[in-house]
Amino acid sequence: MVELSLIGSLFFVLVIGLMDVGQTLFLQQALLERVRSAARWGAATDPTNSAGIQSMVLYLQPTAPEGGVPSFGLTSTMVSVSTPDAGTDNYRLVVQVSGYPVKLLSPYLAGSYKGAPISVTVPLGQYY
Amino acid sequence: MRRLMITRCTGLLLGADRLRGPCRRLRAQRKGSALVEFAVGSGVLLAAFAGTFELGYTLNQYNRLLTAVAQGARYASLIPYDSPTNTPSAAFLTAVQNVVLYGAPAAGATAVLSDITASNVRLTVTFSNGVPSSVTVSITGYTLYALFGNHLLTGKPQVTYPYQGVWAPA
Repeated sequence: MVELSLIGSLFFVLVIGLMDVGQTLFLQQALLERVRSAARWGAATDPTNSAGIQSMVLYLQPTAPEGGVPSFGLTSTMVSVSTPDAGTDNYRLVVQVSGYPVKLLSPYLAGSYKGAPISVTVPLGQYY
Repeated sequence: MRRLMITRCTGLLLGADRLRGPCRRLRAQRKGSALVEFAVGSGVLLAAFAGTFELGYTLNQYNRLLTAVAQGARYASLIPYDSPTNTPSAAFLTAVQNVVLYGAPAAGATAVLSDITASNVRLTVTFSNGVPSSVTVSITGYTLYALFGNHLLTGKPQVTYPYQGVWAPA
């Protein structure tokens, strides 16, 4: 019984920690994939269509569905779309997701945190 | 003598109920074994965990570098190349290095990994038939620090793209 309490606490902390790491990595990869596909869609159609690109990140479609709720607890304020250096060789499309919620379960760390920003840049060029 | 008894007293391991003579005394001498087992077992387990952590951490860092290098090479393959030889101009080189380090042609605040500088980013332009044909970006002289060993990266990760921009020698 004593052994179980000693080893068990360590063991379960470890298992829950592993779940947290896995969950966080999954969330980051899923969001990165969304941002990438949205940036690619924007570069292929109209990079200045910020609302459409934003909607691609949130709903995987260019217009928000009726009464749709974005996945992963995202909101439209978390997605920023910009096209810096227009008219130059460095004209590019930047799609960034920041401040998205990351929920942890580990003891002493449990709670909701804000994830590190995920940013994707697509070079467009002067002749776009 | 004691070892000899252990080999003879196999009934102890099998949990036999009816033990006689010296074997009965040995049953009381299993006190320290749990601690020893714990020390051996947890040592092995911790080493395995640390190894897993090291592998995952290093792969994560390497993957970040690879993404940054690919982004820089893609940028270099698209913008106008303004040098008549395969030695790029300072502005071209700096812009590509900045894209690798900061994700933008102008220098930013935080680089992709700690302690990485522009000197770690190498750009090679290849000419064929007198025109720029491909650009190669690689990381060199950068050390990935991990628990058990440090990995010095020379020419890794490396990404090559065919040059698709406009050649406009100054």
